[in-house]
Amino acid sequence: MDTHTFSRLVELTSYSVLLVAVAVVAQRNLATSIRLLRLEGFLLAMVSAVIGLYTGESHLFWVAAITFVIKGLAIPSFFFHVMHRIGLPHDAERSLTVPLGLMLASGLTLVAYHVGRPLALASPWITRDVLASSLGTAFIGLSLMIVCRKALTQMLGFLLMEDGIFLFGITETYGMPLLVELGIFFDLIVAAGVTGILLLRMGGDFGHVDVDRLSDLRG
Amino acid sequence: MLSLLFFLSILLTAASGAAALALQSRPALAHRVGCWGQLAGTLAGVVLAILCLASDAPGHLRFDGPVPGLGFTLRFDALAGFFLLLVFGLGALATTFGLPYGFIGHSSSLGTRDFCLGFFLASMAVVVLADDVFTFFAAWESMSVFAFLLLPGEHEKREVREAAYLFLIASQVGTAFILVAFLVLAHHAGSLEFDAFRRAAPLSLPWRSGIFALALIGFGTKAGMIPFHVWLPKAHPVAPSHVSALMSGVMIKTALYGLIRFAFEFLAPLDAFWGLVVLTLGAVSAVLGALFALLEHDLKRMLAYSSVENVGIILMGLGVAIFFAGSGKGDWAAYALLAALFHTLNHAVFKTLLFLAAGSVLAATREASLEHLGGLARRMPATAVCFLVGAWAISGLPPANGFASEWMTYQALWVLASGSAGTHLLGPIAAACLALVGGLAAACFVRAAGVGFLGLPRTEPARRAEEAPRGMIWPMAALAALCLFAGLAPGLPLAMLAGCLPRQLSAPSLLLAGPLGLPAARSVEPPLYPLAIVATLAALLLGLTFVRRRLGTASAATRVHGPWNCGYPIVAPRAQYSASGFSQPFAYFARKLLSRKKLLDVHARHHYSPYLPESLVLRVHSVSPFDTLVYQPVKRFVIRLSKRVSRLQTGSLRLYLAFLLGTVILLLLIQP
Amino acid sequence: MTFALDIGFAAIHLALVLFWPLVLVGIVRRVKARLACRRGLPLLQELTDLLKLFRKGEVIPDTATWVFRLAPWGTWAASALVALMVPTFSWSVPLGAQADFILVIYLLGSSRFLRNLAALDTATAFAGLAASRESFVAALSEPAMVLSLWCAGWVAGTSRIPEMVWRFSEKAAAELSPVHPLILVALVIVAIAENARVPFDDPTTHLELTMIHEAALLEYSGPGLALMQWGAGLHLGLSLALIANLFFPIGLAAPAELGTVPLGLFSFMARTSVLAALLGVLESTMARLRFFRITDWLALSGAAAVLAVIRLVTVGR
Repeated sequence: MDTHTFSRLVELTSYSVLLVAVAVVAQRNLATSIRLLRLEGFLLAMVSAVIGLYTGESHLFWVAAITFVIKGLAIPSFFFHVMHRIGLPHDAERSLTVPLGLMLASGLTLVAYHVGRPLALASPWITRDVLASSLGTAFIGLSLMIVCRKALTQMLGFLLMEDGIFLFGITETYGMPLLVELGIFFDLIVAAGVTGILLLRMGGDFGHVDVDRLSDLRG
Repeated sequence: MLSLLFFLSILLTAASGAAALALQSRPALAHRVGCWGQLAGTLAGVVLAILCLASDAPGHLRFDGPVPGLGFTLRFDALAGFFLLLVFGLGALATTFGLPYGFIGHSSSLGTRDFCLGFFLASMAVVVLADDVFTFFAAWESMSVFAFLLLPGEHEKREVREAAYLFLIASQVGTAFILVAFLVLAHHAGSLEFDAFRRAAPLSLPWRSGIFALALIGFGTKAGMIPFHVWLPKAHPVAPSHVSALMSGVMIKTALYGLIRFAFEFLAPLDAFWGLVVLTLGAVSAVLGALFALLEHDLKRMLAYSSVENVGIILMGLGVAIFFAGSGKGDWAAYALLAALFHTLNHAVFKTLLFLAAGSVLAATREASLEHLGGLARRMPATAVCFLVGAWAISGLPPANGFASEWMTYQALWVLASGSAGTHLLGPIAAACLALVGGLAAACFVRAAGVGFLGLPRTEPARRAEEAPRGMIWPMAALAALCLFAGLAPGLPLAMLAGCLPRQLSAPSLLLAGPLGLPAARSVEPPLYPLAIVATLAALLLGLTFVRRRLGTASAATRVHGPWNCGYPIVAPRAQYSASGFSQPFAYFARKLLSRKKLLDVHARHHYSPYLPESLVLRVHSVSPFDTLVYQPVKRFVIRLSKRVSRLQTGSLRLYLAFLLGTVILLLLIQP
Repeated sequence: MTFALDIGFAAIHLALVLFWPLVLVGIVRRVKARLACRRGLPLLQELTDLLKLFRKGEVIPDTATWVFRLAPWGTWAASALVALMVPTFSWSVPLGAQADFILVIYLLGSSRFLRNLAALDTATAFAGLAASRESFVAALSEPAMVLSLWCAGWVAGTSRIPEMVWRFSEKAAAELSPVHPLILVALVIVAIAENARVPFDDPTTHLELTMIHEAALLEYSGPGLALMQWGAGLHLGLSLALIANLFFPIGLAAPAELGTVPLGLFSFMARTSVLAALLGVLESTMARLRFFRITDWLALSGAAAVLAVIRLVTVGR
């Protein structure tokens, strides 16, 4: 694989990651959001594999495989399970309308591009497109955590943010040591698991999963 | 020659107005005298305007007043000539329309109205010709005052009176800003004459920016730029229709004229940043103007909001022009300014046309609300055709003139996108705004034409409407023809406008497209030929008719029958889609912006059963965000301030004398 | 000689542009039928329908005026004019120099303007509903359409559609700008909306209250209906041709080279057929959106285009 094709491929994939993040903002169906998250996981696995092919570092294939299993399969399936178990409504409530949310997302991407300017110049390996789209994905994820009212959608935002950071890390460093990656995955699983269990308990005890209303619990 | 024609036109328009006032006891005669006199005056003015446009070097006319420095100075150059053409050309058509129209409306105050109209036209002409601060302000103020007097003053409706006063206040506030801008310039140049402004060494950038901001607010208020637009949709519609046409078509253009003079002549060298401010304000005005127009029921108020929209489009072109002039790209600046001027011309033509058509509807039905009209295309076919042409043109659809100038604005934005990084983003975003405006305007005028003129009449007056007299039809027909002409042969008006460009912006390569072509901004791209497009369209249609002939069979006749309506047998006027129903999706979409509230009043016979209502009343309130956020606080502040100040006003003569003494001493003390 | 060749190319283009969309409509229907385990109509059913409708008489509602009679002709002609400007088997088209993307969008707008006027002219509530909804969808989709074609033009360095296609077809796939997927997503959503397909509108619905586009045609019959249907087909055809040629410009015939024509024709037909089949799959697998959720999708399209703009602004072509 020559360098040009490689960087184009990475660019295209990173744009797809960004576009999927935007799509998560653009629709309000919880199930579709989770499906999009699954797509995000597949795309990230693909990026890792492509980088592994180009650099020839074998541990990246492991990263790709783990990403595929955890982000592409395990976490989305777990979320679906939680969703069915507590009978969540399909509507992912947000405190912003979709057009406004998309405007916010576009604005954040613009910020990501401007923030990415000095960073991109520092690294000869990486193109600014990849940098900006990974940062943009992370920003969008964070903003989603802010505007979402339900705990599960907040978790979606968190995972999206993590996806952005993962993309940033893997393209910037061409693969961190496997140990670090494993640590991050472990964190991720714990976070998703804790949220899921919390959700199940919340759904069971209060009959709702609205985070705003948790503040009623204050003494 | 120029001065002779100038006097002839001004005196004829003003004097015929005065004669109409003198003959007030016999309204019919007064009206005839007034109209014919004004027609003669405006026609002389048209000749004057053409001479101005054709002249190479600007001509001057000067009188010395009693006090040195307070003379009248006029300047006849091509830019003034173009705006003069708008004033007198459209003035001529509007007075022609006004002659029969006046007899249909209330005839009691005809003489007064003609008097005001004459002076209104004359002062607009002087505004564009003025070449010193004093003349400009005398004319500018008299233009505002006579426009105010043309709004029906002693009207019984409270909102009409309020609109008139709002107009006056807005004019005065705007004028104050312009006055300060002029005085700073005059102080710097050491003279009140515009020529001195042009010759003076440029001020420092902060000063120039400050003056530009003042001028933008002042002229923007007059032009109806958002957020200074609030008075416009209230004031313009209450005037008689041909006067509304002149206000929307011409008067607000004098403000744009002032802005162009300021930016390109008095404040050179320009700063690119101003252009971006103007572009942004223009885009906001265009989008919101179109949205508000779409939500309006009253035909004339809808047209007034659409003026806000079109002023926004003009300002977008102007902003790009200022940007390029500021960054030293003269040919692109020339192109963008040409786009702005062309849209100025086009808007003047189709807005006048639409207001005259609305006047014709108003005269025939006495109904201004779209909800009470409908089916007029059968009763008033000529008016309907004229309105449709105007609607087509104002929606920016090819091949009418609105498309030509909007396309040029797109082109200007297209080259703006190739500028530096910050403007990169503004170009496409502004283009997207323009596209949104196009869509909204199309929806707005489909609604106006479809609900107002097509379908079934919704009320008795609409059912009995009579076609307007021929004297009112032909000015409209002329304007409609002009819309199509300027769209099909855009090179001709563009050639005229190219002569009006400020000297530093000449672009010889612009007009290579010939009389039928619409030049692209970058000379490497081929021009657009609307006539070629129309010819292809005609060829396609011809081919289609041939196919249809061949395929059609003898037994297949065309029959006219009641509408199928999916099997529902009754087609009732009340069951048609209403204007508010049409715009409901848009209102819902923009509900946050409009802060709309719906109230449903259910009047039930039995208190406990709201499900068996006698009548239902749905009231929808929408509050303009500018009103609550900007104007109400300002109003409260001014009222509080006035109350404070009014404490000084005790009515005691001795106290006033004390103020007088104090002022004199103060003035003497601070004199250098 | 070259002149004769040009005429020949123009004739092929004209034939392709006017009649191939009818086959594409057939393909969409066939795919949908197959997915629903039906056999489906013959591919040329639309053409048969049109011929039959042309032979029939016409019933004009007595509420309508000349606008109603004029509208089918105008709508058809405006769509056909745009179809003449969008490249098909070759990037050279008869009206190439005039094929500015703004003009194309506004011509489609003219076609819609006439159709909506005619709808209001019938004085029936269903048609008014159609006019209102169609204006709404169009007003919101136009900015996204302008932005996405703007980006494509920016990447290609021209505002003329045939030239864009030419520039893209010259480049290898790897050299295409990374904003291409973004523009593609934006344009596909807009195209679906403007063609009144699922999930924005359902062309096969029988419930008048849910219709957008179809309700405007309810009062038409005979040749008028034929022209309206054909016009809608032309619109679908030119949208698919635009997407196929801007994003997958493979095997385009070079102007004035006869040898490349068969490949060009085959490639064009294959690509548009695949797109039509995909549209059929999409229509079968998606549910219709609630009317007020349409804005979310159009906003997504706009956001994708804005992302493309941002990328082009900060990084360049």
